[in-house]
Amino acid sequence: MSDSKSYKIRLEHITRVEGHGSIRIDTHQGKVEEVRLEIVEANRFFENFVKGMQPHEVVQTISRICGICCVGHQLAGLKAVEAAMGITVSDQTMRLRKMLNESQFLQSHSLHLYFLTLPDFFGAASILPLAQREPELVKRALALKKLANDYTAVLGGRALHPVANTVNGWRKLPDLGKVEEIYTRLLQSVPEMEAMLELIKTLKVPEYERETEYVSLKHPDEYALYDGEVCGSDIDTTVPVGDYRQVSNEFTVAHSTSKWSRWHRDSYMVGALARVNNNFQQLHPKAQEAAAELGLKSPCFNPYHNNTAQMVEIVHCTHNSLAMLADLLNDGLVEEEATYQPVAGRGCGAIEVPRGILFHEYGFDANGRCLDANAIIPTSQNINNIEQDMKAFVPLMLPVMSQDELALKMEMLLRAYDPCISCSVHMLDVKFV
Amino acid sequence: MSEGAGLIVAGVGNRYRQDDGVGLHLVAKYRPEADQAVAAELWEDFDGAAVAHRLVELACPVLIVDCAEMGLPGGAFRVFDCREVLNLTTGSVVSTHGIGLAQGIQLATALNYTEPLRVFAVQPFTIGMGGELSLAMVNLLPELQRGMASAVAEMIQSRVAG
Repeated sequence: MSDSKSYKIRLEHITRVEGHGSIRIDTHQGKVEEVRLEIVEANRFFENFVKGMQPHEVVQTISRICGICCVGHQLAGLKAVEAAMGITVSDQTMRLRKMLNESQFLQSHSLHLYFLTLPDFFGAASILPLAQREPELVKRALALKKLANDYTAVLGGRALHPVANTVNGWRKLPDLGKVEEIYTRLLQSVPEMEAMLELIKTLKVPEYERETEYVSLKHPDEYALYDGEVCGSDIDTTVPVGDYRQVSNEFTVAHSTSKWSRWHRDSYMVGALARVNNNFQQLHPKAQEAAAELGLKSPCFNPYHNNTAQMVEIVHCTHNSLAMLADLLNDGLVEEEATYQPVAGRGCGAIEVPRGILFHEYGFDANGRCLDANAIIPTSQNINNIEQDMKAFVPLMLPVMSQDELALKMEMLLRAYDPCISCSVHMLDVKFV
Repeated sequence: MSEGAGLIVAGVGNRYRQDDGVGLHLVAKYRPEADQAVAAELWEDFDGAAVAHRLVELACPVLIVDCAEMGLPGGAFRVFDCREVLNLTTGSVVSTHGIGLAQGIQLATALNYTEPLRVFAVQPFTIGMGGELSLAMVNLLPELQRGMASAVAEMIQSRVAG
């Protein structure tokens, strides 16, 4: 009898997400009294750290917000800094950055799907017991993750916090011999990726739908990962990146050390599902085929299918990267001078990172010293939407789910968003008066 | 070439974070003088998943050389065996995206990596931005090299005896 259900669910420090968050659900005699996603991680002050730094130092420092999305933070930072300095990068730099970004998608999505998500579907507490039960599957996951790490390292000099890319170019260009090796390994990984696709097809994704606003970059010529304007599914036009504050509308709530966002509705979603929903037609044809095989149709309103959309993006990034790497090997690389003259200015940059759209903005004085910084992170944009999903899910499922089942589905919902809570609490505005 | 070696000595760490790079320094210095049965590798910016992948791929005894916060005086070192390292993991859950060294080793053992594994751990003096070891650590490098060489010799010996 649902009307007798009184649950007290306390999921403290949820595992298999990055950072620290808790879920609190109270129901009394079949009625939902409270559903909250509490973000309890301490603030980390990154926007204040970078004040006074030179543009190239800002970019290397800001990427330390996160060891998972470090490439994305670097690239968004570079775009913002270059906008402030009035720099237009060469086609070669742009092309290398696009590949670097895709290498991060492959790293992050494969890590999330295999290491953090799959254990739920296999009834395992983590990847460790899963490794004992399904060793071949986990070995395949490790190989794919290693390949993606090496892809990043070949382009950026390091797998984590790359050092080769800098303001207006590349400190050290990638070794074409190593690029060729990565191309070959990526090509050889296609059957492994297809095996992964087959596995993801078998997962029983919870049935639940709640339409929300889906926000991502949009580009007229390509599936927008590196560049574009801001697109919301509730509007027909796009918004220039410089107007990002009109999109994020950040605000605070008492139970979260991360800021929240909303645009045209109470909340919005960013990330793989938002991108696939907004830009489906620009996915690589193989990725569109994969989506069809996985039963993912755009628009999809089931947030659990963010995992499915991540798999689709793995297919997209693999095939797109193969094409870009082949072009690079064909065209070769030319040494370019990566220098710049600091000037006073202000610039914004936006990029899609695995968890969604990332905005950076910086102001500099005439000596190139950073005056102020702002970074708006995908997870802080998503947290409000995750809580709205939970608030809609609990009353819907309360009549048919046990307390344990409901708790598991809530954890899975949070994990489906692939939250990076440490990123989301990167900042705190401190005003001394 | 690591293939066919009886023991791998692997340096891990971050050379851009001062003493965090001590494992890489020690193994890079050891490389040219390594015993014939030993191969030296630098596992630079390997995360836990990459460590697990490499251990499973190698399937041979490994000595990992790393910087570790152990609450000891700077420059002190300790050798941990695999069981001690596994005790450092917190149980059956992986709580962040970043899988650490201990969890990487745990994952490899879950994937049937059963070879002898030890960690030669060095207490840092300082960890921060910068591409050089601290001067205090540099001064201790000869002692650390001797300590590491003993750990290598002991692993080879126990392999022969075993």
